[in-house]
Amino acid sequence: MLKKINNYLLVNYPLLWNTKVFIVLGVSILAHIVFYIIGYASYFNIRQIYMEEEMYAFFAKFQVSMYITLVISLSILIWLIFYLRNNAFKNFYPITVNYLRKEFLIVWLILFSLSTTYFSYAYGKHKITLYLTKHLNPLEDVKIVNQAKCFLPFDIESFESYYSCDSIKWRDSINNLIVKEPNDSCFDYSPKYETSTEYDEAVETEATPVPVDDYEQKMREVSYSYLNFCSIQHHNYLDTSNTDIYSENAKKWLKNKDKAAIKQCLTAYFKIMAKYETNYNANVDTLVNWCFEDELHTVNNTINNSGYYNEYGSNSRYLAKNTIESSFLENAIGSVVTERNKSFIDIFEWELFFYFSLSMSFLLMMFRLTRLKPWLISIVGLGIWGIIFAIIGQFLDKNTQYVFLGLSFFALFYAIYFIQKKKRKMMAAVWLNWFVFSMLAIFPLLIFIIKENTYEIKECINQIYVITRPRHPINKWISNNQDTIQIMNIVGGFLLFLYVVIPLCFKWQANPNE
Amino acid sequence: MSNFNHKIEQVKDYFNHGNYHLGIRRLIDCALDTQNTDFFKMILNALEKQELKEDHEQLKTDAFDLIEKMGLYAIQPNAVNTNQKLISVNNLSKQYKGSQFKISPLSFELNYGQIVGLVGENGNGKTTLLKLLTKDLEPDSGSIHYHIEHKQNYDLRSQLVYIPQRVPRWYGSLMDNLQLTLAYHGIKGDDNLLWVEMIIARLGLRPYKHLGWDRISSGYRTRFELAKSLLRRPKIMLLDEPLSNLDIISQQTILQDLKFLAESHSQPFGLVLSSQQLYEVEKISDLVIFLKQGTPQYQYKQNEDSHLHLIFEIETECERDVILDVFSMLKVKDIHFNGGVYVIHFDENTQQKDVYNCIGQKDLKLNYIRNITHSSRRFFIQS
Repeated sequence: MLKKINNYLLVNYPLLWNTKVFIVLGVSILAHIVFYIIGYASYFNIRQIYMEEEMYAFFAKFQVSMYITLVISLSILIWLIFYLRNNAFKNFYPITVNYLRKEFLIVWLILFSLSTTYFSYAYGKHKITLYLTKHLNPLEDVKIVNQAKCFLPFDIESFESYYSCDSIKWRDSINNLIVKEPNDSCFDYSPKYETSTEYDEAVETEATPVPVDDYEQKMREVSYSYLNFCSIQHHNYLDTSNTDIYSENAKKWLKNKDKAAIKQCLTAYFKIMAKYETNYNANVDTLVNWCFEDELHTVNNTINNSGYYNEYGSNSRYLAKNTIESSFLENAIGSVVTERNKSFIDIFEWELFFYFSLSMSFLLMMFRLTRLKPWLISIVGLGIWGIIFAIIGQFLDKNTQYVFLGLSFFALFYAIYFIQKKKRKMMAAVWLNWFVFSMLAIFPLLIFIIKENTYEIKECINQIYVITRPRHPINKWISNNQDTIQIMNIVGGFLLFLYVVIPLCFKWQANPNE
Repeated sequence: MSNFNHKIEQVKDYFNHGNYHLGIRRLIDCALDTQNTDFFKMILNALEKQELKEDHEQLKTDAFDLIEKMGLYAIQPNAVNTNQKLISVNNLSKQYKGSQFKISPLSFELNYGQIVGLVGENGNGKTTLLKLLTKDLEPDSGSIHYHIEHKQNYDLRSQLVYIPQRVPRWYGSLMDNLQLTLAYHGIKGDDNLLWVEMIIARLGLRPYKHLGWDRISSGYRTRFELAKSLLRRPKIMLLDEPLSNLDIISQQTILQDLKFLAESHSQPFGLVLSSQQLYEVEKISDLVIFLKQGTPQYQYKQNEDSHLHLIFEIETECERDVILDVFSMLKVKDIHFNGGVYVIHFDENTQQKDVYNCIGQKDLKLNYIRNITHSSRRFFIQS
């Protein structure tokens, strides 16, 4: 059957036969399926999702990435052995420019489909993560975590009076006063202090807590008290509440000796730990009692925020007493939210794979379209250009990009001129190769130059900032549309190769040697 | 009688005289001229039977059956006039930078079905001239005009097929290579295999078609390359030393095949080939260009009628004095000894029979004698 298909393609669709596109795409689809399954089989429980880095597992991310790289490299290598056997273009078979365009697109498709095998692995992991965590409500859970933190003395310093919310507010108010500059004023904003250290010391000295009432005044006398915990400073980033509501609740419960509320809070916290398959070795009643060991709610005990590690990873059976895997829990909650919010591959990764496959296609097609000698010279020459740019970069500072752009355009014009003139065949190919290799950098560099020349410039005139050059709307557009620019660059790369480089190579091939 | 019918009559003669090998080759030529794949199938079937049983009588019966059917077949008129020009070369010259060597102004024309032979010692510009003709090199002066329809240079170059002296390696199976070449040239589907099989049969390559490149000798590699080139349906074929890897019998067969194929009814082409096998090339060439340090001397076939002084090449163990004594009755203008043979120039009035008479009368012991009056061999003489 396969032989029949192969023979059918050979005599009817020589391009498809020669590029082996169906075989490679078949292998690629198989690789995608296999790595999707591997991705899906990566996790059997929630714990593995956030413990992946710590686990010694066959399907761990790093190892799988290595396997994928190996499989892709081998597939590409084997494909090249077959693909490079015949070259209709170099043998002057009766083909057209469109044939070469199709060949380029097929080559790109092959390289893209093979190199994106990683996507399927990531997609498999994404799917299993969503499946395993579908019963979780991380954004609600994180609120309970934030509230419970007020009663979990992992780090005793967090309960120091100096770090109480009131004290922090006081320091912030000083900071704001000093850092906040009057609009459009450019005078020295801290004339009082000579150095930043001097300034910091001053702030620390002045940072005395603001008295609230008599009860709290007493509390301030104790260095470490549950009342000093400022929850807003220890907020999990996923909690959008922007007040110290949890500290206020904690103070209220402590003041009212509302042990039941605290117990309920900690019980809810441990339930969440169980849901996320994180471990703890602590007793709720003990933790509640710690809060009320004296009238000032002094923190006399601490708990460990970690598990016991051995070569098998973390395991509750080995957890020391008064140990809670709090960081793992927060990591788990973060992982679930991240996984739910993102698509399995972000746009940056898409762009990365597009750039990779496109660059590889350029490299391979230029080898096919020109000859080994100019191709090798241009590759070695690239290294030499790199050194030259590094040297001239020292002298030209920010103007290196202009030299790079100038050279890229020179390369194109040199190639066009001598190909049209039917002269200097080898050097025309070398310069054309250089143009192709620099092609994907041209548009981003142009955009960079435009951006550099359109941002707002302020100058300090008579101690007042004056806008000497307003920000051009295009500058704002560039800043807000980085992904669009990358997509435009990729599309532009395709079009340039298809409609400029390939027709030039077609002419070049028929030119006489020097 | 049309050219095609004449060919068919020739095939009959070959079979009647027991010349089966040539007969079958020419029969394939006739079938290729018809471009009718039914005939292809019949020939391939007959060949298959022959390979199994080696029954010449059966082959002859099949061939005559086929000849009869082909005789009734209304063959398409010639696609091109065989007198139509393919290349006009005018005062072409080329000198490499930093080299004293130069191809001096050179002019000639090549028509469909014609063969131009390039001869000369090594390093005298044969390959350079072929590369100029294939547009791989640009001439310094003069021009090459190709009477071939083309829009771009690439189209033109795709109609010029150049086979270098060292045939580049083929990768993959021989059949795949040939079928791929033909597919690129527009013959697809079931016809593709039939055409390939026919060309392979035509060049006597059937027993080797399933072997790999590494398992065939350099001579067969040249033949497979030739088969591939023929499948490309070239307008002009340029062969650089195609005979260098072939044995003496194969050289003669290939040259004869090239002559027949160039004159094909359906796919005629012009052929330029360089070779050291002077006499073999002369046999089939319409024009022989002898290049000596880049300077051309021309030997046209039609010149045989022109009146030239006789030149003989003889190989004998006798000394020069003995030879001069043998030909004392005749006027010997010049005598050269080169490469173990004597080249003797007689005056314009000497006739061929006079030379043979002298040799007979004096009973000169000869290993070899050849009249090279009309051969470009005469240009090879070192002064």
